[in-house]
Amino acid sequence: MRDYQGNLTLTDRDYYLNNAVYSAVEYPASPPIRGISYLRGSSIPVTVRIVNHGPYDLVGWITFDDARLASPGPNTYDSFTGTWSNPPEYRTLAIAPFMEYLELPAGSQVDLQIELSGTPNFVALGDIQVKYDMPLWRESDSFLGNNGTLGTFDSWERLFLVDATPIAPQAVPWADYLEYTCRWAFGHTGDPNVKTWMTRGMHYSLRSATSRARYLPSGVWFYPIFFDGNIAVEAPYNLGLLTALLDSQFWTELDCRDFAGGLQIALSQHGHSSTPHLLTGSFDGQIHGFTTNLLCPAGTDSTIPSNYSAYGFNFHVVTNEWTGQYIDASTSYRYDPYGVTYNNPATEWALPEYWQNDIGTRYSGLVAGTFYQGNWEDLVPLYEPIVVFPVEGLIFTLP
Amino acid sequence: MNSLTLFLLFGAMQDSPMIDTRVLTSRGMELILGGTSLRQRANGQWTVLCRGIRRADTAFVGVRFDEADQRTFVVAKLNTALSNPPIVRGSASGLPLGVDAIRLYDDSDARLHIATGYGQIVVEFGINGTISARGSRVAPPQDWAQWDPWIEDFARSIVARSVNRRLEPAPTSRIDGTDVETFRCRISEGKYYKLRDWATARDYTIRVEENLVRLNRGTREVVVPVGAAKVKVSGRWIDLPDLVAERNGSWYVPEEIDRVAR
Repeated sequence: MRDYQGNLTLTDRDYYLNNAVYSAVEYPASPPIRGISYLRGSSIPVTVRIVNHGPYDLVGWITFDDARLASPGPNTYDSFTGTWSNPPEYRTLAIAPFMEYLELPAGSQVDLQIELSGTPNFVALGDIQVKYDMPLWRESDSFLGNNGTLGTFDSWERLFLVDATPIAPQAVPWADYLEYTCRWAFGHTGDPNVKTWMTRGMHYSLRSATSRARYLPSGVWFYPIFFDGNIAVEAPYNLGLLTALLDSQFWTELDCRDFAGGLQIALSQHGHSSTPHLLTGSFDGQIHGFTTNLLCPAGTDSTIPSNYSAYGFNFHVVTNEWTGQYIDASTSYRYDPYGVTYNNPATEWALPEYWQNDIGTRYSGLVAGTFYQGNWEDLVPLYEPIVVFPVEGLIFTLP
Repeated sequence: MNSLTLFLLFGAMQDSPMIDTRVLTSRGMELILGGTSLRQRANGQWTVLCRGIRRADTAFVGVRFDEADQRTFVVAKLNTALSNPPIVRGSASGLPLGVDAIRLYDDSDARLHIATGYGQIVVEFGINGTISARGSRVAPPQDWAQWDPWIEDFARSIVARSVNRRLEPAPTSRIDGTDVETFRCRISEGKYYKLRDWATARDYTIRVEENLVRLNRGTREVVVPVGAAKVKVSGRWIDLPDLVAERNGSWYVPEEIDRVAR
């Protein structure tokens, strides 16, 4: 049994169902916990309980030989098998003390206090793996056995390293979503890197070779933001369904509001605040749909120019982060607001340029113009965006 | 309408299944996530949200149904005036569906949005696909003509159930000396007749076809599609104030049928 100290309180879609959280690992947990979480770079104090279930008195040593973090590596394609995977990356952890003397009378137990250090000082995840030797003598006849790992690594818990103390709406993060958010922003720290790479990571499903999100405009959504709602004070986000879909499918179809809400939740797990905004246009004093500039939905190869299209949207939901800039994981933008080839999801553009920017020959940004009767020639330039809502609160619901 | 009223309206009906899983299983699909019955979300809204998949070819179907939201036309993210993919108004069969319906087709994804007057239904379907060597989705183009009939059948069954759950028994009506089983909509308080009783009272013969009932009397024909807010009387579509419902093989129509097709 291992009991971790100083870790962040977590929950997940199974525990949340029962309004439950867990702050430590107490085996056996039911339902099984999905992992533990610390701030990046933290040292991890662990109580390891060794129990002698047998009828004989035992003495010996435990020697911790090695520890490491086994993380899912970048998405990797095997051209021979035609399959994708995330081959593990290993990072060495320090473990102390190196050796402990053990005296275990029949039926007794001993608690060892150890500490794992040298965890990555960036957003990361992986299995804690430990290699140890544990020769034990039966005192009655000096028979020698070994309960160690015999030169191999033993996998302990899944570790999630977050960038900063989690905040609402995920002040108590869901471990099943940390499994993805730590992949998407893996290797990054602080603002603006975590914001940028969380957006890109969600868009490109980084380190998630077989669990990818793709953008299906006007598909089924699970973050119910309606066009005709002016203020969504409390919006339920079906995070349970999102994580279950990500866990179970190659591709998970998401609407723009799902990306925006999912990105807000992802950033909040790592201590960064943001708010989904529903953007639409006004023309002649009325709310009006718009024609976008060239977009490439997540899940489609954004390096190929022919994969970009203009869309007719009634609205678009994006995430607005604390510096007033818009971040959008749902789609790659062919050009940035200044007309320069970009081919990536938006991560750093503020209004009004993000919405529409006059670059002389045309209007760049999200919006190319408005439209009448479906004629491209009738595109009418530049009108003001309306932020229909920010969501003031966000709550979670289950399938 | 406040949340207490909504609770009184819908609270007792939360277990009524909205998704006919037989339609899915008949096509080799299994429901993998979500539920088939309405659930009240944390904001008080009643919703059905589920996903099905056919593992053999990664075909998928997703359904979202939101009630307690009066809608007379579809509000979709993609705009009808200029869209990629193009939007097609109405159902694939050409029969009216809901009070409004639109379809959107990509090569391997399609969506059907239906406004029911008291809710909105979205059905998405297609091929989930695989991952290319460059990391993007690969999914074969679909022949939507093959998919459309059963997707429409599936959608109509959801629409019909969404109406059924609003109906409650009302005192029997008497039309031309015939007893007509009658229901009342809990929300609009509109009256519904059992179609077979009403047709008998008005001397119509009845023929049930795929997704519609055909009534004949002399040279007059009345076409009644399930889940639609229109009936076709002698070749002309006429609006009804609410949708046609179907439950366990019985059909129910708003009482206005007696005004437009008596």
